[in-house]
Amino acid sequence: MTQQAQPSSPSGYEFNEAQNLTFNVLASRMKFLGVLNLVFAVFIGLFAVLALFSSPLTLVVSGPQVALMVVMGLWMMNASSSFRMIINTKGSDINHLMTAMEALRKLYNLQFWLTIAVLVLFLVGFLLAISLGVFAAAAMNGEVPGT
Amino acid sequence: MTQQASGFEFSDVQNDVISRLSSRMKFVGIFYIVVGAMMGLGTVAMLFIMPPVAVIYGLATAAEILIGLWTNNAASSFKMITSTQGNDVGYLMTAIESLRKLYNLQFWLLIGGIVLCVLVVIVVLVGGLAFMSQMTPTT
Repeated sequence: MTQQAQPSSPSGYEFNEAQNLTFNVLASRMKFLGVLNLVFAVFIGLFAVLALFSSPLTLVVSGPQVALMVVMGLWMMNASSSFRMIINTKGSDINHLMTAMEALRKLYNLQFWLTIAVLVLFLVGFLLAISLGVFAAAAMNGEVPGT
Repeated sequence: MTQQASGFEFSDVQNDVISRLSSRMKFVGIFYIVVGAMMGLGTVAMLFIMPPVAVIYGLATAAEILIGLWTNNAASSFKMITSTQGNDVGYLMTAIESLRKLYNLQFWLLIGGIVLCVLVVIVVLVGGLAFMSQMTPTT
């Protein structure tokens, strides 16, 4: 018979030592990457503010980048903390696991939409380049009226 | 009393979260693999133009493909949790193991990057100081 875990009530399921070891390594790596994301975001933010006096456009480029890095860093750290809680506490392993899964889901959801945005931008750029190429070729052959 | 390993099943609500995570990871993983394959083609081309650069390009390609494969593996194991019964914890641990490898690689890549940056800064500083001392007229 299978046991159904309830998200609202702790199931009492406990991961064993070997499994905890895997969670521990994953948690520590994710924490490092999360912290580093935040540190880099602070550096980029500071440079953007300093560069603001010479070129206001810097903030338009750096602003979203800093925001993304902060959000991703925070989600990595949240997931890491929840994985760590699996090891450090008893009786609520599945709840902590699901909190980590939720943080991971948000992280990959963001990456998914960023990937979509990159693909769309790439496609638009590609189509634009082809259109310009065709137009330029037609202009050189004198097929465009007024050229 | 705590429950151990076999027979544990995630609830429908939990399966929903895991399923959505899996589908997003699958897409991101495939994207990494495709980009890695394109970089691989670039590496082959670079071999004929600038072999030293091709080595760096090749390393980046390998990292990209590994990240894609581990993301994809984790996604597949997460999907198995939702589509099968009786071995949820087994599939979960396979997915977590893939994630561990993925983040471990990113960790060491970052450490490598930081070490390289520090080395570059030291070389530039030492080189700059040596240049300055040569330029300064001695009495």
